[in-house]
Amino acid sequence: MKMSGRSVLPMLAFVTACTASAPEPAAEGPGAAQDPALLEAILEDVRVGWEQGDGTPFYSHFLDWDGARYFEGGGENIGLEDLVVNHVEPEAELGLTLGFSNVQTHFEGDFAWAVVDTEIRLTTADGRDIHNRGHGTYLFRWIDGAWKVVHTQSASSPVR
Amino acid sequence: MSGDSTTALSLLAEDVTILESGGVEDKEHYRSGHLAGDMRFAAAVPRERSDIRVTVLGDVAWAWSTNTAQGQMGEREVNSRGAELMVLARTNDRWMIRAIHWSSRAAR
Repeated sequence: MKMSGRSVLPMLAFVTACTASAPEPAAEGPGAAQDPALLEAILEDVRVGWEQGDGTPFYSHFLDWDGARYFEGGGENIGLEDLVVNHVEPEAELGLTLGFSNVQTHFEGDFAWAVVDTEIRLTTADGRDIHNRGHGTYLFRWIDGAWKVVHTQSASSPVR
Repeated sequence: MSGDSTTALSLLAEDVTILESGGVEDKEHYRSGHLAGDMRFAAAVPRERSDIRVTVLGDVAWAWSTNTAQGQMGEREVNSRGAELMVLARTNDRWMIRAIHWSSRAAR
């Protein structure tokens, strides 16, 4: 589908798509705990998981569902296993240090999202030092009494 | 172009957060600076977008798509792949955009 008009047409398309889409079934059980500290704790676990190349917090806090996609820049991982095996684990081998700060959380019923400032340092396989700052957006759903990450998008640019 | 920018801004909630690469903007910052640049870019560089994937949970939804852009902006060659994510909330039967995250990188 070819589209131009970065700002207006895609925004209209996104709004139209929402209007036309059927909703997911409502969650059962007690309502969501709208506590920012819960999301912040998950993000801290994830941050440490990235640094240590440890998939444990990802398998614990991410919902492993068909259609899961995780975006960074113009790239993506398709599914949770792809994220862990092909992104999280290899990146730690490059000496990744990852900082999260200024976490801002938002709640809408059984859905939440968090925006976080990021700082990334690593050394690529060919010896280039990377030092970037940027942001990550994490989307959460309240499922079976816990917040689960369902989508992520992040982007950064070199520190000047 | 002014009509398009009015339409774009009308879809953004007052507390919208707009992220792109390393930057963050609120609605006023986007209106006063970024929007015009986006529209110039859009006019200059054709973009192909994937289908928009939408998940609706009651009065909140998120939607994402991927895109490729290839062309020329002034003297700069553009050949990039990107993704966009929007979080929307519905109030009084009207969907408004609460968060946008645009990201891209040079195509390899």
